[in-house]
Amino acid sequence: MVSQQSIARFLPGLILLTFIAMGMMFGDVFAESADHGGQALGELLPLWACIPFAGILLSIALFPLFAGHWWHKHFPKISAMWALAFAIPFLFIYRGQAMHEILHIYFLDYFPFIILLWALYTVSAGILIRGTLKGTPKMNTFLLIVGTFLASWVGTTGASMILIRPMLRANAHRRRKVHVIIFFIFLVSNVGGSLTPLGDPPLFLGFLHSVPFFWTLNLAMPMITVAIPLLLMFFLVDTFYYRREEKTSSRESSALTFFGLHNLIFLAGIIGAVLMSGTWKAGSFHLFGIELKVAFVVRDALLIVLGLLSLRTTRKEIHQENEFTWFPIQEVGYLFAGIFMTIIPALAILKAGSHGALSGLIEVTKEPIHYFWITGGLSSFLDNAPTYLTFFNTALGSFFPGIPEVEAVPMLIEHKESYLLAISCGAVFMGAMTYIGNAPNFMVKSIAEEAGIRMPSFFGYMIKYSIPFLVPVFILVTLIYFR
Amino acid sequence: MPAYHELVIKGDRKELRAFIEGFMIGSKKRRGYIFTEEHAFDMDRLKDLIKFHGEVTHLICDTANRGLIESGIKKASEKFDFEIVERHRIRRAYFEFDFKTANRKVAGTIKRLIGKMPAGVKVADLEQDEIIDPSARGVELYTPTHHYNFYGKGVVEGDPFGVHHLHAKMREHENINVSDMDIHVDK
Repeated sequence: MVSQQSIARFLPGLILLTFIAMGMMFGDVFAESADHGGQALGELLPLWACIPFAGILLSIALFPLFAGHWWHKHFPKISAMWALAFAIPFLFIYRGQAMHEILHIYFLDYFPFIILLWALYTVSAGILIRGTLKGTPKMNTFLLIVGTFLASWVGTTGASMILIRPMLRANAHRRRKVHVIIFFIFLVSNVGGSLTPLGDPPLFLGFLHSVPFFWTLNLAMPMITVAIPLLLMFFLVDTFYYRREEKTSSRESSALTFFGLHNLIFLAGIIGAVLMSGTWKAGSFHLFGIELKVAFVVRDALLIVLGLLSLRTTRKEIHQENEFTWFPIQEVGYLFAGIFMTIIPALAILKAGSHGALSGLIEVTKEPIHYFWITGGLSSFLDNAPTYLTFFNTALGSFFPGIPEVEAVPMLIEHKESYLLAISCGAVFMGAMTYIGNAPNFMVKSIAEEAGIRMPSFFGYMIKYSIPFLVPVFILVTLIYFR
Repeated sequence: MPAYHELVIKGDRKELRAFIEGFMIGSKKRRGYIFTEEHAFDMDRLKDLIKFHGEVTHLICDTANRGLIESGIKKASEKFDFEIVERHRIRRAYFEFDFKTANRKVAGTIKRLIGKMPAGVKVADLEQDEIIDPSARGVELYTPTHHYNFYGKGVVEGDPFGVHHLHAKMREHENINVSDMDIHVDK
């Protein structure tokens, strides 16, 4: 564990160095850009402009592992540091164009993304399941099936939050239960979120970038191909351990009681609002030079209203039992403010295709199999939402460089659909490979540990569980869909 | 501490084990001995093989049983080719452990377990810490920390049977890691 003092000593120096380096390097670009007037931003920006993006993603991946308590206290500052390390020189050099890019990504990506997550989180935190089931292999498998299905409609975070405590209560009497939590992370916190844009943040980002709402149903077959073998393996493993354990006859199940079910109406409202925004052609208007679709603004307003209605109508005890606080949304808010700022150069460079500084990446990623494994491999260690966006733009830059996104995405779906399928599957499925692949993974681990379960370490999770169970299934998916 | 001994016996392991079990049952002695290879003792079989040029079995027994076992093996040695190749008085048996939990109830169980040692056994070099972080209450997504943390490590040492009993008990506990047991002997 890195000591908090050593980080506190080391960090101001790092921040200063980053600012100086970024400022100096952008100075050179300014000189170069003067000679290349009229060129697209993505063709001008150098690769090192992506350093803050890599920095923030690595911070999210590594600080929780090596300096958890320190990170818990200081993550907003770190996010701001990386964001400013890019934004200040970027604004200084590119001025109006830079401001336009920043406002564009915040208005069109960041705010809708945060509003959707906020609404889903608020509404799902209003649903509580009390009572105890008996954690037999059949019951556990059933709960995993329910969670896998639910995740596509309330999001992987929402489904994990609703079901993890009933799952823990059901298995409290079991001696060996770590595998139950691990398969819960695989299926409920990741794979299950593949069917709708509400299921997993990467898919919602795809939706915000012109991928139709129902297109994600194309992930149904790959999802089933992953989920069925995993459920089968889980059932066999759980049966093996269950038979070896002494059965305690005193352990009785009690009927499940559901509270806050009126939140399902708000959930249906969220689905309806998102669906409406994808189909309603209500025109657009400009704000600070950014074109905003009326349907999108109405959607976001509706999501806020639905979230507020849920807060207003849900009993306090339900929120208390779900340990509801605003902290998870604050985390997403602060960290994604940094992610969306720093991803600007990466996306611009990728959109420039073979003319950008990441032309090497575009040349390497040629086939769907490459997109599946590279998007997935990176999603295993970095957050899967920005990773999805990066490779989504890699595909657009590769096949349709220079074509506006709103026209390029339908072309991608029509002519190169397997590429989008590979990116989506890679981002959603392989988030399960590590604890840091997807946000709910850590949440589930943390809740399980607080319930007294000793969860495996970062590498223990990979060596004992994700590599032996998930990788063979992903190879199967590759052979069937992306060969 | 009463005296305990390690007998290193050369001969076919399965035959020896069957013989001793049968012999002790016949002598109405069901306790007072342990085959180390069956109870998570740290054994180096390759070293034994080189040193004794064949299979050996390590048996731990108390003084009360030592004479009985030795005489039994002596009587059986002609028929089964058993031979006691080393005898040691055991100074102490020990194992290392560490624990970590974010659950107060589990922490209570661990505290009780390490706080109440059976006679002849003690916890040495115990380091434990209990940290409460008031800012870490509730659910987190990207900055997972626990409101309550209890962790520590130590060494359980003492008479071999007591250490063995505690090892089995601690190994069952999900939040405690235990090393294999080892013994120090008088050479």
